[in-house]
Amino acid sequence: MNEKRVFSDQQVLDRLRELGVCLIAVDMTTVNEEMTKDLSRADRKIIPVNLIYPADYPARPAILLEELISPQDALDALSRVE
Amino acid sequence: MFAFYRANRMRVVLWLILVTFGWPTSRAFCQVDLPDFGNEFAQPQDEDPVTLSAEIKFFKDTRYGLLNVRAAIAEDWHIFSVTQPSGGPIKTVIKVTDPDQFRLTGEFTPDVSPHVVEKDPTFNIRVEEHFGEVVFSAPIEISEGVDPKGLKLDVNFSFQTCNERGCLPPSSEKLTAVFAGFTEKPKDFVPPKAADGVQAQPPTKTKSEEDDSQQHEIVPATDSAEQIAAMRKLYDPESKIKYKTLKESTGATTFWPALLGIFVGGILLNLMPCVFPVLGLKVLGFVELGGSDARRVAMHGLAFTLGIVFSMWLLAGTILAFKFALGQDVNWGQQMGNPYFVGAIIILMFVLGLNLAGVFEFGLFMTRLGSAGKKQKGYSGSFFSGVLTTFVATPCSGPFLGAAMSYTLSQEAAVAMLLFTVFALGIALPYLVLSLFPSLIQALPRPGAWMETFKQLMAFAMFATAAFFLKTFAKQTGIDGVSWMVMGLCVIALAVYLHGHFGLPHLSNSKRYIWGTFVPLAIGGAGFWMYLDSAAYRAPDGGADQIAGLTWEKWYPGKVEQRVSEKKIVWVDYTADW
Repeated sequence: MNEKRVFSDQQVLDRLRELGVCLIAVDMTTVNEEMTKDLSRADRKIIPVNLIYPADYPARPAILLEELISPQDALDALSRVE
Repeated sequence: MFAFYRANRMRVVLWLILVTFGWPTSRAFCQVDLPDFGNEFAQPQDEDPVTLSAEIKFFKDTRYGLLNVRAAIAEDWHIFSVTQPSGGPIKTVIKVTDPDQFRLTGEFTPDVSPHVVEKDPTFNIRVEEHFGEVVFSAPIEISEGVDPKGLKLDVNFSFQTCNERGCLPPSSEKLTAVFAGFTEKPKDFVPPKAADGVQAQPPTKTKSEEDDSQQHEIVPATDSAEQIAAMRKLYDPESKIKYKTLKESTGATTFWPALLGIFVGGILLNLMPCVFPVLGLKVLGFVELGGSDARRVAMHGLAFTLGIVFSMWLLAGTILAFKFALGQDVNWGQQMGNPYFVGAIIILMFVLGLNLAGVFEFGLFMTRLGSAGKKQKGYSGSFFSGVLTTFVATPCSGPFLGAAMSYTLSQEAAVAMLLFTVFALGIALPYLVLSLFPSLIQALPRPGAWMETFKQLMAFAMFATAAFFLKTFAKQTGIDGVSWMVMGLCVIALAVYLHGHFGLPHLSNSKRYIWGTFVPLAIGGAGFWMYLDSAAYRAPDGGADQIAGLTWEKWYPGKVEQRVSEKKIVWVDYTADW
C-alpha cells in the first residue's frame, strides 16, 4: 500500500536510524486471532495502523497513526516520541 | 531537455487554463492517493459492517433448488466478488459442508454484478466490489430420500470488508441455511447431469499468494522458542494500549504556543513600515473625532478593533471555504508533498522578500485605499478603517501569517476562527490601548529610518523561509528541478526589478506601461513557466539499498513490551498485503 512511500522517504529513514527505532511488523495478511486481539487493545479493527511507542512508555502514551500515512505524518509522530 | 518540454507543454498549457478558470489546481496536482484523515475512526469501531443470512429454496416437486447466501453490507463498506482476481483484496469464498445429503451443481453467482474498478489505486489491480445488499446463489441438488423441509446446511462464508480508507482483516463466518419454502422452477431449468457436480470447492490459495508481494522484508524469526516464551510472559492481551492519535497529541503540544505566537505576531505586525506610520495617526484621528470625550475616543478604538476582527473573519472564512472545497481535510503536510504547492510558496516568499528589501513597492495602491477610508466620519468610518488596515497589513504579515496559516490549515474550523480572532486582537491591541490612554502616543518612537531597517531585515526572514522550502522542493524534484527553479526565481526577480524600476508613477506613461508593466509581465510569465516546469521534475528513487536498510522484526505477543522495556522507541506496523 502506501507504506513503500513512507519507508522509502530519505528523511523518514534518517530519523528512524538516528533514533534507533525498533521496527516490528504485524503481518495480518491471513487471519490471526492474537494479532486481531492485539489491535483491539488500541480500539482498532481496521488496518493499516501504526503505533509508535516512546522509549519511556507507558510514562508517555504511544502515538497512533491510522489509515494511510504520509512521510510527514511519520516524521511528526517520531518527533512526538523522541 | 528540450524534448522534455515538448512532452510537458500540453500539460502546462492545460494547467494554465485551469488556473485561469479558477479550478482548484492544488486538487488537480495534489497527491490524491492520500485519503483524508477523517475522524470517523478516532472512535473505537464496534459495529460489524456485514450481516449474513442463508436459506434454501426448492423448485416445486423436484430435488433441485437454490442455496442463497445474503450479505447486507453497511453503507460506505464493500466486500469483494467471488471472482476477484488474486494479488489484491481477498475474494468472497462460500463453502458448504455436509456433502452426503446434497451437492452443489454450479458455482455461486451474485444477483447484482459487482462494481468494477479496472485499476484500483491502492491495490494496483482490477477490483470487483459489492455494495449494499447482494445475494449469492448456487444451484443445489439433494440426495434422493432426503426431506427438503428438514434440511439444514452449514455454510462457511469467508470475505473481506473494506471502505475507502482501509480494510478489516479477512474473516469467515459460519451460517446455517434452512429450508425457506418453494419457488417456481425457471423455464430454462435443466436438471444437471451427475458429472456436473461441484462438491466443496478446493481451498483458496491465499497463503502462497502472499509471498511474492510482501511489503516489508521481515527478517526470519531469529527468536528462539525460549525467547518467545519469555516475551509472552510480558504480554497481557487484556491490557489496553495507552495511545494518542497524532492529531490529539499535536493539539496538546502546540495549541497554546501557537495561540501566543499568533497574538504576538499580530502585535509585531504594527511595527511593519506599511502599518506603523499610520498607527499614531489613526489614534490621533480617533482623538480628533472624539474631541475631549475620552469615552468616545475609546469607542472609536473599539469600532476600529471590530473592523479588524471582522475582516480577519472574512479572510479566515475564505481560507476555510477554500479548504473545504478541496476536501474535508486538507492538511499542510499533505500539501507539502506537492512540489507545485511548495514551489508556489517559494515564489511567494521570495517575491515578498524582494518587496521588503525595497526592490519594488506594492504599498502605493494600498496606501491610497487607506486614505480613502479616512474620509468617512463616525464609528462606521473607524470600523472600515480597521477593515482596510487588515488588508494593508496583509502583505507585510507574511512571516507571521505564514506560520500561523500552516497551523490553521490543519485545524478544525472553530479553532481556525479562534486563531484568526486572536491574531486580529493582536493587531488591534496597540490601537485599543492608545485610544484608552491617548497620552501614550507621545511615548511612541517617531517613525523614521529605523522602520526601513526593520523592514529590510524582515526581507532576510523571507529569504530564509524560501530557502527552507527550497530544501523540500529539492528533495522532491532532484537537482535538475531545483536548479531550474532557482533560475526561474532569477527571472522572476528580473521581472520584479523592472516593475519596481520603471513602474513608478512619476515616469512617463510609455515607460510605465511598456517597461514597468508589459515587459515585467512577459518576463515574469517566463519565470512562472520555468517554475511549473521545474515542479514537474522528480528526484530519482532512493534505490533498493535504502529500503533494504530497514529490517522489520516479526511480531510475537509480548515483543513490543520487551523492546520497550529495553528503552527503545518501537514502531509497530499492523499491515497486510491486501
